[in-house]
Parts: sequence; structure tokens; C-alpha cells
Amino acid sequence: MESPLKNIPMDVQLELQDKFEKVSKLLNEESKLDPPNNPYRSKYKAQTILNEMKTLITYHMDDLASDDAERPRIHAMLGSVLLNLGVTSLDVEELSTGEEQLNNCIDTMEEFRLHPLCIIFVLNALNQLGILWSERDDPKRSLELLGLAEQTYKDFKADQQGASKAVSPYDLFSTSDKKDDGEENLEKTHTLTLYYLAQVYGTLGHTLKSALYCHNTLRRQLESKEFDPIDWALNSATLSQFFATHNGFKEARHHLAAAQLILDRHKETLDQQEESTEEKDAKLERLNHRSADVSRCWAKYGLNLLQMSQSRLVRLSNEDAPDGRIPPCVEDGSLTLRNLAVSSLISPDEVENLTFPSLELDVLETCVTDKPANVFEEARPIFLNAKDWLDKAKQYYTMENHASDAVEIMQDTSRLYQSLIFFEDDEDRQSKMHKRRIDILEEALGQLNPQFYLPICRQLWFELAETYTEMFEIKRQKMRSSDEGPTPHSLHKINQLVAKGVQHLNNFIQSLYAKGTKSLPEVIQEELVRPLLLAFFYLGKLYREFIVPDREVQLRNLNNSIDAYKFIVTYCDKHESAKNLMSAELGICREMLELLPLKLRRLSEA
Amino acid sequence: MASVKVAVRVRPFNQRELDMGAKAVIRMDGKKTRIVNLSKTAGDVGFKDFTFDHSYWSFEPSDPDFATQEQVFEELGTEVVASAFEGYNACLFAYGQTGSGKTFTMTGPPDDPGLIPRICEAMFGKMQEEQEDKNYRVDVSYLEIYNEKVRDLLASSNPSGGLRVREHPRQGPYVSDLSHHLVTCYDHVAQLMERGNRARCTAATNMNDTSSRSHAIFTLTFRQAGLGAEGLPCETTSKVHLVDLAGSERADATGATGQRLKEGAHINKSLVTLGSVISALAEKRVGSFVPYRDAVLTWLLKDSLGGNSKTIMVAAISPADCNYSETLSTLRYANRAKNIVNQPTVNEDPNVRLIRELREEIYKLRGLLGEETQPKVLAELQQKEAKEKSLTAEWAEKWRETQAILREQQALGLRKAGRGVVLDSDRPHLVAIDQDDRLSTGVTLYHLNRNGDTVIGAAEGSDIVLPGLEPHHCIVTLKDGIAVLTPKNGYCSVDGLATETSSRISQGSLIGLGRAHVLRYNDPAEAAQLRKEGRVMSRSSLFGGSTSDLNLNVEERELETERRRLAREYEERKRQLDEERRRLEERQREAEEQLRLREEKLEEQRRRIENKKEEELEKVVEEQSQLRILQDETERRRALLKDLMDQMDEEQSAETLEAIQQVIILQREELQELEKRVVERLATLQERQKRVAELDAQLEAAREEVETARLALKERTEAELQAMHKRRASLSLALNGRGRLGPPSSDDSFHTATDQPQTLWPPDSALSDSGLGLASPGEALARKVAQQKEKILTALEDENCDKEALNDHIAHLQELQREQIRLETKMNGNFKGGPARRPLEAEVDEPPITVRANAFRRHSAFELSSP
Repeated sequence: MESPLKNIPMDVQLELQDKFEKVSKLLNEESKLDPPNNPYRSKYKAQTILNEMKTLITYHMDDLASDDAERPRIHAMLGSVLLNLGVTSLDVEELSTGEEQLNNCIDTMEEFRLHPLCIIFVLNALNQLGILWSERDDPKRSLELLGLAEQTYKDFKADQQGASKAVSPYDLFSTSDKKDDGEENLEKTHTLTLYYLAQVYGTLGHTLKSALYCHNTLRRQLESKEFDPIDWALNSATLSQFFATHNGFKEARHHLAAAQLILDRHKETLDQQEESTEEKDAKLERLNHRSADVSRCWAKYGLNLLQMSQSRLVRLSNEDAPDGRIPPCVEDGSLTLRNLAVSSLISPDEVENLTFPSLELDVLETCVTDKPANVFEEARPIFLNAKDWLDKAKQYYTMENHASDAVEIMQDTSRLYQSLIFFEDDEDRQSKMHKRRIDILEEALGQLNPQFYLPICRQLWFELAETYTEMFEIKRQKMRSSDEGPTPHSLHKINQLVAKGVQHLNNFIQSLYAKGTKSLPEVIQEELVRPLLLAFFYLGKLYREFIVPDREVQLRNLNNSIDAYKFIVTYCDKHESAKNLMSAELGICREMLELLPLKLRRLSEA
Repeated sequence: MASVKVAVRVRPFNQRELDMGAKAVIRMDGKKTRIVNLSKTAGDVGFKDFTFDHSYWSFEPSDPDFATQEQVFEELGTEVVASAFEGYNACLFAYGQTGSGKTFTMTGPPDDPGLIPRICEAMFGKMQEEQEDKNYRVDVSYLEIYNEKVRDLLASSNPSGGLRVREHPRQGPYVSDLSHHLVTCYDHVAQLMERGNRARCTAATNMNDTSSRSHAIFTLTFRQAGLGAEGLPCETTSKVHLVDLAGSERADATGATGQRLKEGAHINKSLVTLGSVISALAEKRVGSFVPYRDAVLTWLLKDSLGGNSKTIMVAAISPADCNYSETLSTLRYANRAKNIVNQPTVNEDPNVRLIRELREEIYKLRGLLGEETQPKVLAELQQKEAKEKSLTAEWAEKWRETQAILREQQALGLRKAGRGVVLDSDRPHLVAIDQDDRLSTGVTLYHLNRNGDTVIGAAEGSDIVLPGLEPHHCIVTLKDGIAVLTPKNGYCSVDGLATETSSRISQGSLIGLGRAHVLRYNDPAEAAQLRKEGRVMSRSSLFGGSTSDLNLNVEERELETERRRLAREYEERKRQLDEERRRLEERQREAEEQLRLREEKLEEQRRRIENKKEEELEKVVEEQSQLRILQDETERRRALLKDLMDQMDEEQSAETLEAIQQVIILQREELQELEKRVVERLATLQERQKRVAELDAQLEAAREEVETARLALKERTEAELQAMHKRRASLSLALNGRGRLGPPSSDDSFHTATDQPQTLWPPDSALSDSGLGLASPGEALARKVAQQKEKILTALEDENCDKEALNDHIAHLQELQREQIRLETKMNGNFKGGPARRPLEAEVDEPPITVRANAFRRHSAFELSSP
């Protein structure tokens, strides 16, 4: 409790304290019960009282000497009132008034902005102004104000060096002994500043900056110990997805391990609790659900790591290493977040320690590497780890109860195999893995009712067509490089694979047929234009991959191929917007349409 | 296809706004909605425009453009009803801050009902109309989503964790344990809605919060049962969702409006939304998994937001300036509303590689078909030209042929004599008489070189080329009207007399060359001399068998008779020989046939044996496996027995001992039995293996037999053939061995009759490529051209052929064609320039004068028909 003020009569001080408590109650409790036809009733009441407080304080402030020791406190009181007035004005949509009041608040305390009595109000006012300008679609202004808040906090910490603690608004007006924790209030306010900064950076497109601030927000939540464990774990795991897709595998793994640890601890706590079964069930359900989500994040981590390893090797083999030797990856700077930081004009040091020092994560982190794989032996453990996580997630996301999630997990499993295939040299084993993919995807497709899951079915048709094509290419390569040349068996197999690819693409195309017809509508839904045209593009190629001796069949396939290209060209000619979607492919289609009929003629003349 | 329609509706000022002296900030024009920012300083044009499917102006009832409840229903509600009856789902979202008129639009006051009552009434009304042939059933559910928890608003109690949202692979998304209530009229619906709303309020109060933070979904499930197209019973289910979305500001604060709707640039105040912020960061990247935060709504509406459903969003807004920011936020939301249809797009990984492959293919195709694409027309022209050229050439040849014959008129004449046609020549010549080729119908006439040598032989470059002769067989020298035959290194005979030295030949002499060729010498000048001298002409023989020599004495006549007799005899013998040969061949064929049948039989037998062997082998294998099983069993039994014995050793109790002994005895017996069976099996196995060996032997024997039969036949036929050859050889010897024959005489003309079978005179096809004829150089060229074309076509077929080489080929072809034309022109000139020294050619590609009867008729039709 602060000692009573000399400059303000005691009765006024008590009145102020009383009014402050009333306002707090109105804003924090009663406003939530305002009727829909008068939603701001409590807030308007609070405004009246705050204005009265403002008058009282201002009245006594005028007489103060410039060196009076009580000045900071009285300024802080006025600042507090102005802050509340400003926030309330914003709440009742009187934005300009609110802005003015908030600015007044800051002006009032300018002199004492780093004073323990004022700091919380200054930071809050800046935060509020930041929000206001963000709502006015001026994120840069918002960034300035929030940046100022961040800096002010830092200055305060440097200035005070822990000597004196920030004072809470409650204590400011309080005449009693009860003490509120001002320090905690300050830290919470700063956490909000960081959180708002994360959002503003996001809005401005500085994603890495935004991610850094999200991490800091998470870290501060952790340290404050005020967080919902499941929410926190989920957020950390989600943030790991950002890092994993920006080559920050070390950071991604750390965030995943943290999420895992928090969930494990939460599970222990739950297990110990003796509650009514229903409530516990609900909590367990939520835990299981979100644990499955974190598992899926882990799996995505592995998948991303494998995919990045692949693209890295491809890039390396394109760049140098003419002797086929792969340089050690450890020093590969392009594969860390630092590189991204440099390109985002952020000091690399800022991304150095994106960790949660308060958590012991070594054990969880050693389960899987954060380095890219160079050879099959290195890729395999990553694959196995990711597949384990997917299997775990599948236990919650069952086909019966969570059809689309279950299918997504199956799709991820297929992608994992696809990534591992890159590291596998043996064609037969490659084929086998493709076969696994096909089995998985076809199983998923077989169980889904297209009436409800049409978009997923479309994806599956597409992916299956791709997988069959990849498998076909392996078989063809094998046939070509074999000494024995094509055998009836290998030809049959190849034609079978091509036919399956064609079939799935046709399924996809037919799913777009106009209601009750057997033809495509004149205009295709925008998001599906490119997929549809791509399907035709793939078809055009696949139809020419059949190996048949019968000239009639050859002609038919070639005609089908021509028709596919024709559809693309015709559609693009009719719809200008489609041209841009197919910029890379359209030229090829046109050339094909020029050349293939000649080939067709030659074939039919031969 | 999912179709989303977005409508915005502005309400009149409410009392509070009127009290505040609010100004209107909303303008509407057609589909456009404009919001004006009055807080901007004067002169600053502060407004934003949005375009929606519908902008409803319900600001002032007196306004002529005022949009009534009726109009809103007509334009939005009827579609929902129609969609439901068609069997598709429909979804009607209402959206807007509290007090924006959402409830007015959706429910409305009793005297001016909103969308929901109108939709329900329309549906129940339509059911009444169509009830004859269909059954309808409507049930209702009402739920609320608050903090991602689903609560049943029509149930008496809810589990604390909320109801679970499920997705069944076949039945789609659903809420487990949600109560459904059958309804039959709108009143019923209204009651349930009222009940739900009350539950919502109570719940909200308990949670110390306002209801605007939750979404509410009122669902009408509509089932139609009736007879389908083919009289089959069918049932369709469609759902109509009426969704009350949480208010915009509040929704943003909780992040509870679905993933896609929080893209706004505004700062979320509460840390509760950290998840959304992080999700927004992560979800922009492909390949990341972002756990659903607040997707229950999207989940539940999945069956309405995809597929063929109809989705309508109605955003309600206030017209007042004091609500500017909220209204703007609502409009922005509505503008993005179409994105709520969360369509996952398809992946497309291998495109880059595919494009590269296709580019390569195009490059190849261009190489292959390049000449056709760019100078396509040119190629076609060339093709046409080539065809024309060959047609012209063909025509020119024929023309030249006729012309040549006509030009040779002085040397060669055609005339009709009685029924015959007579071919005359005024120069000394040889006429070929082919004895072997009975089917030939042409007559070949060789002119002799004047005052010089005419070389006859098989070698190319000879003046008269005849196959089967020595390369330089003989020379006929014509000097001062006297012809002398000088054999070089081949067998020659004059009038049947072999000659090895130069011998004079005269009109009518028959010259035998080698074994097959007989030529008759005609000298028109000599013949004319003879005729003048009054010699009798004979036409009795086609062979010129009659003599033209009046000095021929009786002896010579007898000799002539004898010669004819011999010739007949020769013919007779030859025929007999042919007959014999045919018989022999017949016999051989029969023998072969027999052999074939025998072979087949043997083969059949072999197959049978082999099958049998196979069967036996199978049995052996089976036997072996049986044996193994038995042996295993035996082993096991032995082990068991041993165990038992061991056990017995340890066992003390007499009773058990006895029992064990019993068992042992039993086991022993069984074991013995088994062993016996093993032995038996072994025996059978051996027996079978022996049988297989036997079969093998049989098989070998059968094979040998076939071989022997084959050899025998071969030997026999060879012997027969040899015998026949021998006989034939003796026959020719006999003929040759006869005494000298008088020179046969004949007219200098060669006679042929169209109505008689024409014999001999072969246009031997083997002669045609001699290169002697006039056209030969051209022909070689033509061949080259053809070869070149062939080459190009082959190259075109070969996908790997590179373009340059192809171009070279084509250039070469064109060069050749040009050369061909040059040559042809030149040759035509030569031909016309002077009389041909070479033998007259009747067919351009056949060097000797080969007048085929049919060709002859064709070209001389005019002369033939003239009297």
C-alpha cells in the first residue's frame, strides 16, 4: 500500500479509491451482462465515473509544485483514469475520443514514463494505441507504437535494474494494506506487447519476425506458468511447422519436443486427478485429440526433413560435386534459420536462441536427427520415426470417426514412402514402395463416400494417377535398360500401370461433370480449373505411353491424347483467366496439337 | 458445384442511433455497397466499395428501392427450398454484430416474418402439394458451438466436454448423440427454435457471457421417399442448415469463425488467440500440418460447403456512423465469405519433369515431322510432282515405244494375211524360238548389226543377251549380205548340226545355242532373191518346217520327214518324261504325306507317354511327400515313446506306470504300423520311378522310329529322282545323236495368228535388267531416286534420326530427281536425233525387241483394224 497523499484530502482519496473499484467492477464484470439492446450500458456508467475521477484529480494537480515528491503518483493516477477512459471509448466505438484520451494519458506521464508508478499505464496506453492503428489499417504506425512499448519496457528494466517494482493500478488508488502484484501485471503487459508485435509483423509480411515474437510470447507464457498446457503444446507444435518449412529443423524439433514434454506432464497430472468420470473423459478426449495433432506435427517434421534432404541433394548434384561426392552437410549454412534471417534483414543473432531454457528436452530431441539425410541409411531412421508418429496419430484419427483426418494421415504415409524412394537405388524396391503407396491411397479411396468427401476423393484420384505414373516410369526404365528387352510380361505390366493412371485421371475429370450430365460444364469452378486442365495435361502424355502393336489401338490412343490437349487449348482460348494458370503448359499443348495430328496421319498412312 | 451467394442487408436506424443523431454511412447501388468514412477530415474522400451478389436496401420503408422481407425470401429463400427438394444440401448463414438486424432478417416479427419461417412454410406447403406420390419426413436439430464445444440446445442435458463431432467415411460428418425432433408444420419448428434459443440464453448466462460468442446451427433434415425413375423406391436426404454466426468483433476475439475468416489485418487482443496467429504463420506453407482450432463449424458444414449444395450468406449491417468500424469489418468478412468453402486443392509435384519430357518429345517430333510442319505445303507439292513425273514418264515411255515401232516401219512391217498377222522386217534378223517356255505368247525379233558383228551371249554388253548361254557364246557377222555364225565358247548348231567353226547361215537357218535357245535366221533380201527365183513358199509349219530351198532334193525331203518324225517323237518322249516326273512327284508327295501322318501318330504317342510320365512323376512326388510325412510322424512317435519310457523310469505309482505302459505298447504298435507303411511307400515309390524310366525308354524309341522313317523316305525319293534324271539325260542324248538335219525353210516373215495358241517367243523377264536398253541409265537413276525416297522414309520412321541428316537426304533426293529429268530430256533428244542402232524395244525396260502380243495389239490397234 502506498502511503496516503498529502496533496489530496483523505476523503477525496477514499472517494477515488471507491470510484476506482466501482469502475473495475463495471468494466470487468457487469459489462458482460449488458442486455443486447443496450450492450454498452455498464461502459457508459464507467465513463461517467471516470470523468468524475478525472475532474477530481485534475483539480488537485493544478496546485502541485514542480518539485513535489507526490507528482509522479498523482500523474500516474490521472494517467490511469485517462487510460481507462481511452479503452472504454474504444470499446464503445468512439475511436477518435479514445485516441485522444490515450494520447493525453501518455502526455501526462511523459515525464515519469519509466517511473514504477507509471510504467504499466504507459505500456498499456501504447499497446492500446497500437491496436487502434492496426484497426485503422495502418500497421506501420501500429508497429511504431508497439515498438516504443517494447523499448520502454527494456529501458525500464535497464533503468531500475530490479531495484524497485512496478506498482499495480489497484495499489495506486488503494489506501488499504492489501497489495497487488504490480510486477506480474507489468510482465503480462509486456507479453501482450510482444504478442501484438507478432501480429503486426505478420500483417506486414515479416513472417520470421512474427515467428520470433510468437516464440517469445510462448516462452514468457511458460515462464509465467500461466497457460493452458494443451493450448500451449499445440501452439508450440504449430510454430514448429513454421520452422520446419523454413529449414529451421533444429528449432522445429525443439518446439516439438517442448510440446511433447508439456503434454506428457499434463497427462501425468490428469492421471493423478480423481474426478467425475465424465469430466475426466472430456479432458482425456481433448488430450488424446491434441496429442494426435502433435504426433502429426512430428510426422510432418520428418516428412519435411526428408523432402528438404531430397531437394538439397538435387541442388548439390546440379551445382557442383562433379565426382559425385556429397559434401558434409553439417556446415551447410543454407539449411538453418540463420540464412533466412539474413535474407529477411534480421540479425542472425536474433534467431540464435529460440529455445525454452526452462525445459529439459535433450532426451526427446535425440529421437530424431535435425540434419538432412544424404543416403538411404540416414533417411530410413527419419522415415521410421515419422511413420511411428503417423501410426500413433491414427489411433485417435480413425477412419470410422474422423474420416478426412484419417485419409490425410494415409496421404502423409504415402508421401513418406515417396520421399524414401528417392534414397532407394534398387528399382524393384522402389516399385514395391510405390505399390505400398498405391495400396494405401486406394484403400482410402475405397472407403470414402464421394458425396461427402469429394474434394478429398479428387486429391486421391490425382495422387493415385501420379503414383501409377511414377511406378510405370520405373518399370519402363527397367525394361529399357534390361538386356533381354521387353517381355510380354513387362509390357503387360506397363500397360496396366498406364491404364490405371488414365482411369484415375478420368475419375477426377468425371467428378467435375455438370449435374446429371456426362460432360463438363462450360465454366469450371475457379479453384478447380488448374487441377482439371492438369489432369488433361497428364492424360495427354499417358495416352501416348501405351505400348501396343495394334495400329487401331495406337490410333485411338493418339486420338485420345490429341483430344486431351485440345480440351486444354480450347478452354484457355475461351477463358482468358485460365491462360495465366497454365502459362507453363499451354505452349506445350499448342505445339503438341500441331505435331501430333501429323504423327497421327503418318501412323494412319503407314 | 458449391455455389456461394453473398448478400448484405442494411437496416433502418434504431432508437439509440436516432437519439445520438447518427448519420448514415452506407450507400447502395445495385449490387454495390459503399461505406463512407465520415471521421475523415473534410475534402478527404473516405469510402470503400464492395460488390456482393445482392445488396439489400432496407434503410427506409418509404424508399422505392426498399427491400422487403418478401423480396429477400424470393431471391434467397426460394433457392434454398428448391435445393432441398432436389436433394441437395443448403446452408444459410446469417452474420453481423449484435443489433445489426440479423434476427429481423432471419426470424422477423410475427407480422413480417423473416427467412426461416418463410422457408419452412414454403417447404411444408410444397410437401402438401406433392404428397400424392411421395412421402416426406422432416426432423430438426439445434446445436451451439461455443469454444469448439458442441451443445445440443434441444436436449435436457449435455456432457460437460460437449458432443463429439464425427466424420463417417460413408455417411459423412455428424454430431454423435445429437437429438432429432420430428416436425410436421412450421409452428412445431418455431416452438423448437424458441426452446433452443432459451437454452442458449441460459447457457450463456451460466458461462457469464453473451450469446454472441457462440455459433448456433439449426438443421432441418428433409427426407423424401418415393418412386424413382424406373419405378424403384428411392429415398433422398437433404439438409438445410440455418447458421447464426458469432458476431464479427467477438468472433475475431475468440478466433471462432473458422480458419479462413481471420485473415484480417487487425490485432487480436487476447492471448487466447495466439494459436490462430501461429496457425496463420504456419498454414501459409505447403507441407505443414496446422491442427484445427476452431473448425467445428466448418467440419459440420462440410457436407453443405462442398459438392452440389447451395450456400447463402446474409450479412446484416447497421447504417450508423457510430458503428462504422464494425460495419466495415462485417463488410470485409462478407467479402471474404466465399473463401469459407475450404477447397483443398490437388497436389502437383511432377510437373516440372513432365514439362521437360514433353519439350524433348516436341523437339523430337519437330525433327521427325519438321519438313511437314514448316514446309508442309512444299513437301506435298514435291510428292505431287514426283507422282506427276512418274505418270509423265510412264506415258512418255509408252509414247516412245509406239513411236519407235512406227519409226521402224521401214524395217518392220505389220500386215494382215488371211486370219494371220504378218510381221515383216526388211533387214536381216533372228527370231527366237523358245522350246521350253510353252506359255510365252510374245515374239522376239533381234536385228543384226549391219556390216558388223552381233555378239550373242549371257554377258552383259552382248548385243543379244540370252540367259543360260556362255558369257560370249558366239558371233554372227553380217558382211555384204552374207551372215556367218562363229561359235566362241559355247555349243552352237546350225540346222541341227553342231558346229565349232564359222559357218554360213542363210535364210531360214535354225541356230541352236546352248541347250535351250533356238533362233531362226531371216534375211529378207535373200528371201526376195529366192522368191524371184521361183521357189515355193511353205507355210505348213510354224517352225518354218517347209523348205524355201527349191534346190532341196528328195533325199533332203526324206530327211526332212525324218526330222519331223523325230521332232514329234521328241515331243512325245518329252511329254512322257513330264508325265513320269509328275507321277514321281505325286508319289513323293504321297510318301511325304504318309510320313507326316506317321510322324503325327508317333508324336501323339510320345505325348501320351510323356503325360503318363508326368503323372507318374507327380505321383512320385506325392509319394515322397507322403513318405516324408510318415517319416516325420514316425520320428515324432519315436520321440514320444522315448519320452514315455523316460517318464516311466521316473514314475513311481504303479497305476500310472501301468497306464504309461499301456500307452507305450499302443505307441509301439502304432510305430510299427507306421514303419511298415513307410516301407510300403518306399516300395511303391521305387516301382513308380522304375515305370518312369521305362516310359523314358519308350519315348526314346518313339523318337528314333520317327527319325528312321524320315531318313528312309528321303533316301527313297532321292533314288527315284536320280533315276528320272538319268532317263531324261538319255533321252536328250538320243535326240542329239541323230544325223544332220536339213535346214528348215520358211518365209522371211514370222507369222502369228491371234486365234492360235502362241508358243515359244519368250519375253524372258530375266532379260529386263540388262542395262542394255536405252532407258537403262534413266532406270538406274529412277532406282536411285526410289532408294533415296525409301531412305528418307526410313529416316522419318526412326525417331532418333537427326534433322540435319534428313535434310541432307532430301537435298540429295531433289538433286537426283533433277538429274533424272535432265537425263530424260537428253535421251529423248538423242532418240529423235538418229535411228536407233540398238535393237528395237517394245517395252522400254526390256532391251531386246520383245513384242508382246497384247502390247502389240494395243499399240497397233489402228493398223490392225484397217483392212
